[in-house]
Amino acid sequence: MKTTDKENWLKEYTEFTTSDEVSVPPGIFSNLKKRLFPNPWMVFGKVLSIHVGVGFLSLGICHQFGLNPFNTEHSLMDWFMRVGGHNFCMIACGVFFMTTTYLLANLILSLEELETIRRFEWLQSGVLGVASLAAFYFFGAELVATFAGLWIIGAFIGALLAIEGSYKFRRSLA
Amino acid sequence: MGKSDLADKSDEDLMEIYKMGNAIAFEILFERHSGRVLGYLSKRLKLPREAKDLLQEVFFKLHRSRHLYNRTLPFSPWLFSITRSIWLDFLKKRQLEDATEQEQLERMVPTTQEFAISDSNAGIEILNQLPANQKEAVSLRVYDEATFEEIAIKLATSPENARQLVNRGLKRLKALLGPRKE
Repeated sequence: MKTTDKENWLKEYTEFTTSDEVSVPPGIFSNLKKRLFPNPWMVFGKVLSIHVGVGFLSLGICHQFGLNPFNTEHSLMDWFMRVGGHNFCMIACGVFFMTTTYLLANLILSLEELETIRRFEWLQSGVLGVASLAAFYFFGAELVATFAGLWIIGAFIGALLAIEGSYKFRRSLA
Repeated sequence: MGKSDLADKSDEDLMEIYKMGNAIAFEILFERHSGRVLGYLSKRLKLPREAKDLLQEVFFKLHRSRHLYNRTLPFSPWLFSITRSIWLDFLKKRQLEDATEQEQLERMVPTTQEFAISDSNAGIEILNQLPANQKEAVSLRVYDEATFEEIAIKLATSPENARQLVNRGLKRLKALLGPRKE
């Protein structure tokens, strides 16, 4: 900072510290609060909507528990199975299923909404994971406890990595 | 930690607590400093609405930059730096808008004058093709050289809206007049 800039800054700062306080209408803080701290339920609603859409579409690429609504020939599931066997496949499918949701959410949601997700990441990932398994079951998937457990672990890993990675990326851009 | 537990804390302590995710700390900081920030901005802006919008932007930026706050430095100069940068950004944006509009006016006015001289009835006819509020806003700005605040008062609208009406009117007028003769 040049001397004149510094002098100007100091002059303005003195003016700032001695400024008369103006009454702030209460609506301003409530507006700000809504922007900075979005309602967790609203954010969860948005993530859930994204998850329903993305999760369904992702079945075209990775058949979860054999579900193949688009009748596609190739699936990441088969590849995971060949590469690492059944257990690895379950974990990898869980990772894929949740990662796609949170990566898309990263593009749609605001940084403050991502912060809200981050505050409840365990709870939210758990609820989404269990709800997804329930949906698979509802649509005819045969769930075996061990595999479902491995899938849930994968879902947690995918969700937490995607949430943290997305948040850090967006934070660096802000 | 409740509001009463935090009320006695210094600004610097509150920032630390806020960085850890406590929203009440932010609320107390807002209560303590928003009046002064608004006072500072109100002195520089004619319109109270603009000052209030910028006040929100200041605290929004404070929120987004909170991880950059260094606890060893006093809070007040940091807040002032944010306020000043928001204010300067606003000025730059406004100057850019004014420059764009001025450029548009410079391109427009000779064309309209040439047109008016050659065929004043046709000129009026073209101006009449604009919606009533755009027509009035353009006339006030181009011929009477009125400020946006003055146009806003005459049209019973906000200065921002007056600015938009002029811009839209000029664009439409330009399209109606066709390419400028060199």
